Amino acid sequence: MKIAALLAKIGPPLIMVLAMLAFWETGVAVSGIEPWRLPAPSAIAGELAASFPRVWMHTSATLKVAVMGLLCGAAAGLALAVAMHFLFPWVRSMLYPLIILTQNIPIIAIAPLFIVWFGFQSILPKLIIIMLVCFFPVLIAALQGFSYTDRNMVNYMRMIGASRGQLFRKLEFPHALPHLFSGLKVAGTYSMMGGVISEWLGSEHGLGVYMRLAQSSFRTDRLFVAITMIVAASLVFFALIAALERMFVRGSRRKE
Amino acid sequence: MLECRNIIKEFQTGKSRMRVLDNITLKVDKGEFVSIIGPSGCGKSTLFQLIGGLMTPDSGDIFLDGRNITGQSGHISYMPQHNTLFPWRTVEENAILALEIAGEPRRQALRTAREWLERLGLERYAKEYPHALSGGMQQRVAFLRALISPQELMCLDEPFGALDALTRHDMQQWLLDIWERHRRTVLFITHSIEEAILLSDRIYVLSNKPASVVREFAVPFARPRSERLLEEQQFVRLRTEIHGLLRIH
Repeated sequence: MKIAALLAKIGPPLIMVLAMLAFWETGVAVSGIEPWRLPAPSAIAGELAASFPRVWMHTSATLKVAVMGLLCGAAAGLALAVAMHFLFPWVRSMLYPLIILTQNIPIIAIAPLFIVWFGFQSILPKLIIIMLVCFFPVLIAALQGFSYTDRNMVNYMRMIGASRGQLFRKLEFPHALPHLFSGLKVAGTYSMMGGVISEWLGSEHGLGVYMRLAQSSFRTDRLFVAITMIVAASLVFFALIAALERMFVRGSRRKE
Repeated sequence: MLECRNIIKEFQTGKSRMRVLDNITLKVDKGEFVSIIGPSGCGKSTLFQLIGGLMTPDSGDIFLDGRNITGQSGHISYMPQHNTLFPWRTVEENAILALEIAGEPRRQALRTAREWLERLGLERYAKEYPHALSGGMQQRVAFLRALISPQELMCLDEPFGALDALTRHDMQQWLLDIWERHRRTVLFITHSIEEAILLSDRIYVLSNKPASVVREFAVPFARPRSERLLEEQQFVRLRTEIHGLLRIH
């Protein structure tokens, strides 16, 4: 029963992906397009298998900064959301434009600054860049979750004498959890992107470096290998966060 | 037990001040079931928010056991009209919320809740989430949550207002039965005259905009009561009288 349900869920997207790959494979073979323009999926898989140790070395470097950046960014976003939630409204309105500003400046524009300041061997510039892209979705989602708490429930809690802390721990925080996880899912997919971009701009290892080398030598198959790894990692992040969500979000607020 | 003295409350609407509560004086003795009845939107819920300490009156004082509690929260146990069970808590976890807020250890609170669930015949719902229950069942849990709160005075704000007529009828019987066995002090808001007469020892009738106490009735029927009361001459007379008062004011 469980296996049947699982098949019903992942069957359709799986068929779609396989069909696309088959179309791609035959398309390349029939049209005779040069491999440096568009390699066949089988060629990409072959390259992945042949140079796996090297690819994995770069992937694991990116994974390391992405996970660290995601954790730090999510923690910073949540902490900032809690702080802003408890602060006076005027402090909140003072902070808000500043936070929007961090999202308005393109990463490409500020990343070189961090690299100049901390050096491209350091993990710090990469970490800061990933944090910058990851904290925002978590912050916004959490703030929204806190402020959308049911008014009747808040009144009930205040009526029976709940303190500000109890109101937060027992009502506002659990109420915001589904929102928070939506934010985390967005942040999770951003973290790989942030990692690759920061490596592209200056690093010793990582998929960003691997891609830059592949690009300058027209190794299109390697670019596709890198893309495959990034997509796979993003999917794993998403699945892990969704699993955490199922663990922590209970009752009717769980989305099935 | 509870005494409200000369409560006045006004709200600012645009440029004018609107008086919602006009010189309300009422009291509830220990172990008494007192109802407040009035037209919808006459300010009954505002009165509860004052008693609950969410707002302060413009003038007047509220005493609980002789202590002035005006503007202080946490002295009453409360059951609101709208479903305020937390969807991420099971029935038993919802039931202990007020005990948790009062600082009782979770394990001990859960034991109390389970005893009560069993006593009320609800034990098979203990581990269910609220969304799996019917509206009437959810209100039973909300009532239990108020019942096992450490505060003596229970304020029930139109607890059956959102239920269909049949369920409402069942719930009145259910509440009557539990109350007559346990005799907690209850202040009950309703706009159903029959509900008020059936359940209460005394009834305050409020007027509309601004609300003030029009009359106070002592309900003469002996307990235990049942719905057969509804057919008695005296019941019908009382109902007609209150109905008349609500129509004039």
